Amino acid sequence: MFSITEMNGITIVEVGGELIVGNRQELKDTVLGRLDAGDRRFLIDFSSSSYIDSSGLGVLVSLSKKIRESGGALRLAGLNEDLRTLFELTKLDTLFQIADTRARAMGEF
Amino acid sequence: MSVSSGFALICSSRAEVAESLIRELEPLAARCEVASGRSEWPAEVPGVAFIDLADASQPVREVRLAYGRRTELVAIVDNESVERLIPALAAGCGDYLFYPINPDELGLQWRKHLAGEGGTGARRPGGLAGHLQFEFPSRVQFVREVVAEVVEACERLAFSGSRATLNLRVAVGEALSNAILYGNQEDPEKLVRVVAALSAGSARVTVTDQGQGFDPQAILDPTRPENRERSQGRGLFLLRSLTDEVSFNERGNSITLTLRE
Repeated sequence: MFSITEMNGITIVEVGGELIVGNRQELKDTVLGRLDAGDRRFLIDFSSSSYIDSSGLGVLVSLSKKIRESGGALRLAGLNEDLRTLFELTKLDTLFQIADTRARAMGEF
Repeated sequence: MSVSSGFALICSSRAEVAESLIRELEPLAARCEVASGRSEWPAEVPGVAFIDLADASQPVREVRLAYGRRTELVAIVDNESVERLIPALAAGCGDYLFYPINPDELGLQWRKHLAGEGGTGARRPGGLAGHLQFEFPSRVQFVREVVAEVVEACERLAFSGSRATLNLRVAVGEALSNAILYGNQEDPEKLVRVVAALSAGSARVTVTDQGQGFDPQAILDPTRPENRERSQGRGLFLLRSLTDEVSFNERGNSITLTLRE
């Protein structure tokens, strides 16, 4: 469901399928594990993801806070139209740095 | 051929599952036969067929086709196969048991079957055409499948497009998550009930939990700048934003959402 790669010092987490109440904890544990291990620059890529629910949004908010408190940065990329709608409705598009593509997000770190 | 109510068919390729069912059923005077992944079903019509959802074949529809509604279908689920339960209920299983089997639960179910009550009944999905009804334990793993069933029924009977695949999907998902996480506090002993009424151009879905209820007015607006960094509180907001009507019962443990095309 979540695959991790590292490129140019950026930890890229790819979300496959959905980020919802049933698997949100897995994403949280994965990212916090890497934060504990010293990673600081995170990119969560949603290009292969079709859906996120409020629990998933909540986990992203909480991760963003934790990463920032550790002196790191989190960026999001690859949101489809439905996902963008949900970020806009909840005004989370103002809280996150969101790029259209992974490449563009990497260039903005 | 008439149904042999004392005959139990066990559809499982896992020997330990079949053995544990036989061990509990035979003292209750049940005759058991195991069908492990074969395509020919016994000519004698079983009263109950236990279907192991961990099997790749999980032949709910095949058993239904072979014996019709004369045979009660009971799904056997475990932590690995739990996501297959809702589709199995939709395909005709009237009840389910968790594996490892709880002997008391199985005994109760078998005695009810012999008494002609057909399982607990409460868990049976179905109803009139255009109505969908489920009752399931409070586990977040069920959310995805229940939402998929409701959205699929909406596309078939009410409307399609993003009103179904985004608005209804999000709204029903949020209602279920709230019922499981906050209403029933993830207590798997407590059930969540979903009733969906679908007609051309309109979907009405009611989700009820067994919790104490809550005051929907007490939820903070998550879009206000001071609340934007809170990790919770967006579910109800999304649900309200994406539906045409939302109402609660007085206790606050049952929500009804309506969407029109």
